[in-house]
This record gives sequence, structure tokens and C-alpha cells, in this order.
Amino acid sequence: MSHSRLHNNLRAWRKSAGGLTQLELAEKAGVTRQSIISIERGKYRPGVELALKLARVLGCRVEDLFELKEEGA
Amino acid sequence: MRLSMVAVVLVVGGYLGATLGGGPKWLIGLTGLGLCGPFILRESGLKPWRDDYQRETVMTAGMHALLATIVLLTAVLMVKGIGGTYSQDEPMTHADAFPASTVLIVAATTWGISWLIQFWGGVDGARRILIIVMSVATALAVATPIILHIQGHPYNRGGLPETVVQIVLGWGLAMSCRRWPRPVGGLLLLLVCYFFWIARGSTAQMRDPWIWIEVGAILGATFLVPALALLLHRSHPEEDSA
Repeated sequence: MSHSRLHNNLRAWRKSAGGLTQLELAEKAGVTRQSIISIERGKYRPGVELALKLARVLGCRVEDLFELKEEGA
Repeated sequence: MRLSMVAVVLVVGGYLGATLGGGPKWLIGLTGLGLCGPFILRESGLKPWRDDYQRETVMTAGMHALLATIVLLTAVLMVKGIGGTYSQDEPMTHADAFPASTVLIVAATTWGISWLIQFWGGVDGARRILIIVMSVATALAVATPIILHIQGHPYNRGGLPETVVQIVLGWGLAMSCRRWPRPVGGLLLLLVCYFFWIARGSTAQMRDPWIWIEVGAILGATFLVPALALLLHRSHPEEDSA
């Protein structure tokens, strides 16, 4: 039986978007730096609204930031 | 001043005012206001949440506090029995009564500590707990001689150097958490053992069997949880230092 796990590429996209710091990204998205830290660590799953905001700030699609990975057996 | 700071001042000030200072009982209402006020303001929309993550961590911490309270009260009822335990022939003694203040302390400390550690992470959460503890300790050290003077009681100046050393040491630990988390965690663990040893001596005379729950909750919240948070933290080199 397999199950899926939410994987995020936020850190990679943040670095590629001009090397934004967590604080700068947080300010642009209108959230706390703790939110960004927790998302990058995989401790917090953001809601749809924040996911869309992050994608807009980083100039990518939500699917680029977050993806479901199948984990097997 | 930030809402959380006001809340901490109300919670601690109200509790200490109603217990240590011999102040009026209604002061404990300030503790309730400090605990519930920010939550009510934010849920009613009068003061917005900083973001969804803050709201989620506050809610999760609330659930932890509820669970801790249920476990505590269930354990108490298992020991004391449910209703009808007390005979009218045998008047209830102080040792029979389970203090409501213990429930409040356990619920409030669990909520506060859980939120701080979740929201700020192990090291920053522990640092904030220690800063709050040391702020209260410093305020008490300054206020005690003044209160005693107002009440006409003598103040023993002999203990002053020891108090100053303890306060300086405490602030030193609080300010060193980020740089040396594990050594500070180890020192805090030693302090927990030391304070338990001190508390063991000073509570030996008391007949209140429930005092150890309060002692455990307070020492656990102030030193044990920060010590474990610092000792068990995993470093995240990818985290920006911003």
C-alpha cells in the first residue's frame, strides 16, 4: 500500500528568486518568518491562500512549490 | 507594547499579586484576562491574527493544555474518587481539597510553553521562556524589599548578594541559549535538580500533598522544558540568520 507525502521546494525557489531571505519572503507574502521556516522544514502545511501568495511572490506556480510524492509499499 | 507582552504581564502579575503579595483575591481575574483576552480579541476579529500559522499553533497549544488538564483531573479523581467520598462525620481537611490554582497553573503553563516552542522553535522558544522567567525573577527581587517595607516587615539584606548572583547567572543563560544551546541546556538540567532539591526541603513541612504538582508544573515550565528543548534541538544550517 502506498501513500503520498507533501514535499515542498520553497527553499530552492526562494534562493533562485534573487536569493530572498526568509524574512524578506515573509514580508512580501504578509506572514511571519516563523511560517516560512516551518513550511520549509515541512512542519506546517500552508492554506491555499498562502500557497498562492508564495507562488505569486516567487513568480512560479503552486505546483512548482508543492508536490505530492508517492511513497511506496 | 505587543499584545503578548501585555498578556504575560497580566498573567504573572495577577497571579503573584493574588498569592505572594497578600493582595485581593480578584487580582487572579487579571490572570484569566491575560490568558483569554488575546484569544478572544483575535477570534472576534478586533485584533487580527499575525497569520494562519500563529492561529494554528495557538489552537494546538490550547488542545495540549486541555489534554494536560484532563489527565491531571482524571488522575486526581482516580486517587480521591468521584463525589460522595467525603463523609459528613469527617470534615474535609486542607489535604483533601484539590486547589483550583493547580489546575490553572498546569493549563496555563502547558498552553504557554507549547505555543512558544511550536511557534518559535526549540532554541528561540526556550530563550523566550527564560527571558520571561528572568523578567519575573528580577521584578520580584526588586519588589520584595519594597513590599516588605510597606508592610512593615524586616528585610534580610544578607541574602542580597546571592540573589544578585542568581539573577545575573539566569540572564547569562537566557542570553547564551542561541550561541551555546546544548551547554546551556545541560546547565538548566542541573538547575532543575538543584531547585527540586531545594523545594523538597522547603515543602517537607507542608501538609499539602498536591503542592508537588504545582512545584513540578512551575519547575517543569520554567527550566525543564527549556532544558530539554535546548538539549534535543536539531540544528538547521539552512535557516537564514535574519
